[in-house]
Amino acid sequence: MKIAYRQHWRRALGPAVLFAATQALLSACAITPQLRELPLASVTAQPQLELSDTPFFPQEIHQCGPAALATVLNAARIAVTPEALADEIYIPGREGSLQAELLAAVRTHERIAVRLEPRLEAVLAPLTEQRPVLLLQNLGLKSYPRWHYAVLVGWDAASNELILRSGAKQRERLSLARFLQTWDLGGRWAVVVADPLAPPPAAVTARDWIAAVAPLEALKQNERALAAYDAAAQRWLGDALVWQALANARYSQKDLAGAEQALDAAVAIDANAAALNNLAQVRIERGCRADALAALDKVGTVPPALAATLADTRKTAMELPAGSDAVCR
Amino acid sequence: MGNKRSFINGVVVAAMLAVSSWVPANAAMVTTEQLVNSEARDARVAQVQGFLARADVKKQLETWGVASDLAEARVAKLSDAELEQLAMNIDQQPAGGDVLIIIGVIFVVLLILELVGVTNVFTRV
Repeated sequence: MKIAYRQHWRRALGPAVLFAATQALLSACAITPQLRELPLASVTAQPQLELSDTPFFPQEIHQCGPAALATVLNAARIAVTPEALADEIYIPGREGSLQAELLAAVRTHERIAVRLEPRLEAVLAPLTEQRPVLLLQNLGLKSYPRWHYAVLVGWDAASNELILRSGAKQRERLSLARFLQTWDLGGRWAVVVADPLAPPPAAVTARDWIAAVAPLEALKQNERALAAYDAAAQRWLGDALVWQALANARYSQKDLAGAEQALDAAVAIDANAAALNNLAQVRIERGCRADALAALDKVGTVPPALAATLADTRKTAMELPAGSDAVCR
Repeated sequence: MGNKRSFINGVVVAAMLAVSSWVPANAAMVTTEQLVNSEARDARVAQVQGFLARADVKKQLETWGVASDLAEARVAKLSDAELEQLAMNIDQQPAGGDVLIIIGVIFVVLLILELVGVTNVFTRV
């Protein structure tokens, strides 16, 4: 019985493997992506690029997180060793490091880690500004993952390869297909390390920059956050979110006039409920009842998450003594 | 044990809700973290959940062998959004660590299956 079962298996396995292998070969041959043929502005401008000065820290066992993080921090002129970072991000029981802890560790070293869009061009572009990119790969399978952090430092369109600092390899050359496969299975996660006191990297979006800066406020790094929002407002003039973020940072520095100015700019671009609520709150604190209520009256549809906050703000505005706004305009 | 813990959680939630309703001035600003997080929720609920998430994540790190004082310092550095994401599914989060690949029969079979059925990297760049 047992033998018959085994033979049955063997007979089925042969054709199955053959079929699978043929499929794999066919699909690989049919459309192997080529760096020089893809619409990638960075590669078109520079077919070959390598940030050779990027430091290299060979990985200790399981510790690619600290090694990769040390690589990008040192490249951003922050001197720190993988050993020191292990205490901040390594988890013995998981034999690895979590993405969230990597981001948090960057913030404690005077830099921020900004998420990149999940497109190939978005992870290549920072290299043209001398910024290596930290990314997550899955070297295993979707159902059997082997998570790994590596640092992208270059590409070579002629050989269709990408160059990474990875594990024990100082210059790992991966074919574009293998790179895309491992990065795709890793959820296309990639970040660039930036100085919040310098202009934002060209390849990042306003929202990703703001999201990277916002946690600085909770860490009492308000000066740094304010400078980063100021830089954002210069770069993304027409983005309401940027003005709202700048207003919040000014508000927490007790700069009510500055906050109101930034919120006026935000509302002029997009009169959203959050901006109008905050504008009303700032006006309340300036003692301007009529102006606060005027802002609240402009709110269109109320997002459910803001309903309670808006009601609170209106209640507070109503409680201000009427006729106290002589100095408001 | 579980009962005791949920009782304590209940007390903490009640206390924080009480505290946050005494101070309307700060609660009335919509923060930047709220603005950029996709799942916007009521500020008071978020505040309480953030508090509980911090304790949960710290405990999980300790279970995984991170020293207690280090775990404390590490959760203090996480943003509310990061904490919440971790508290929800820290077990399933990728923990990047290895370059080793175990090559075995099972792995090869799985690899073939994946190449045939699951891989979709060639369709989007």
